[in-house]
Amino acid sequence: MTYNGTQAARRIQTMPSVQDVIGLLKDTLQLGDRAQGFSDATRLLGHVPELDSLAVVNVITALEERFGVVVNDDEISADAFETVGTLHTFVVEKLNA
Amino acid sequence: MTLSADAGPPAGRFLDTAHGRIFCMHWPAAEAAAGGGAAVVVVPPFAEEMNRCRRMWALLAGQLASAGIATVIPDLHGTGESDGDFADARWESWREDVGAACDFARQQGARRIALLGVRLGALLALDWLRRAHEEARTSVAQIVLWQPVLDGKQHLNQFLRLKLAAGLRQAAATRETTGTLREKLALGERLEVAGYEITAGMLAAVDGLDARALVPAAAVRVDWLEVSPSETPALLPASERVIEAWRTGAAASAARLEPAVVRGEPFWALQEITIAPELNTRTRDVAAKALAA
Repeated sequence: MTYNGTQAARRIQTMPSVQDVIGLLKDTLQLGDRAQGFSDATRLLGHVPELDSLAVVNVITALEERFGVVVNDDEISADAFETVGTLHTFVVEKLNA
Repeated sequence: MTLSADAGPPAGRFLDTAHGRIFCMHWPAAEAAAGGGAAVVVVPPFAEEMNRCRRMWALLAGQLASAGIATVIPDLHGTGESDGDFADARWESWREDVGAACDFARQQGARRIALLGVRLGALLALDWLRRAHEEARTSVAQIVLWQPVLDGKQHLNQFLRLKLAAGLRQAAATRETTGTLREKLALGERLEVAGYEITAGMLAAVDGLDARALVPAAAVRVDWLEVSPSETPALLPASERVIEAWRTGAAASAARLEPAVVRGEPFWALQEITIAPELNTRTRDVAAKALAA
């Protein structure tokens, strides 16, 4: 599959959706089909077994790379990883900041 | 000698450098391409990412061998089988290792070389190329970048976070941050992250790396390859900005830039050894094209 510059440029402008965040979690944590049942209410930290402390680091790295945000260490908290919805809010607030 | 259609038998070799012996794996081409030899020289990524890439490289070397291209994979100073500990490694010595691996490829008959810079190795390859002496530089026809790191400091912060992850549930005020880790290092404390000792010198050198400033020379073809697990793969937004800067910025490059995204898993970041077959196939194809006599 070849990259399409115009399509990519459009993606930069749009805020990530809850589905985008679920897609990122699916890819980063290798959740496979289980991610299909995810919604913004899905609980993450302490509920998704793949999400150990190292995986949290990988998710933050993926958020930075895919959505172009820069996360400061003191902003990384268990609260942001409570649910899919809180993680999505975290990203949107970072992008709006 | 009969050569199989896939990879010739790889051989390990030690190369002498000013900072000790550097170990290199060398996969000869199954059949030398017409007009002289071609080789891909891998420039490895940082710390654990190197180990996660080894399976991919071995498979790639087999595909390249069938296409008449040799592969050289150095262990940078202080990593793998090479002399020195990680704490001994300096960015300057890593740069020299890239040159040593290219010299070795030429001694083995390669007249046209593609550097394959992987993650932080992308910045190492670009940094080496702009300083390389003429003979070395003119032998490099192509740079292939695999998911290049764009900002050295951000890459190191992502690495340092491995040390912080365990404290995630502590109150923010009492937690260590990449900032406090950096302060401790500046004060002379030892800093070990995931089994790798990071020195103040290495930190300073990598912190200063910015892909935007490492504009490739006009004579090389640059294949910027990224991997995306998404059903609609697209370049990372930050990568788009660097490519734009290379194309149109103050120090714009006349180099031919060919960005592409293939479907696959981010194998360099995953705990389980994972491969991205489409990335290898694409790499073989672009290398065969650029290195053809």
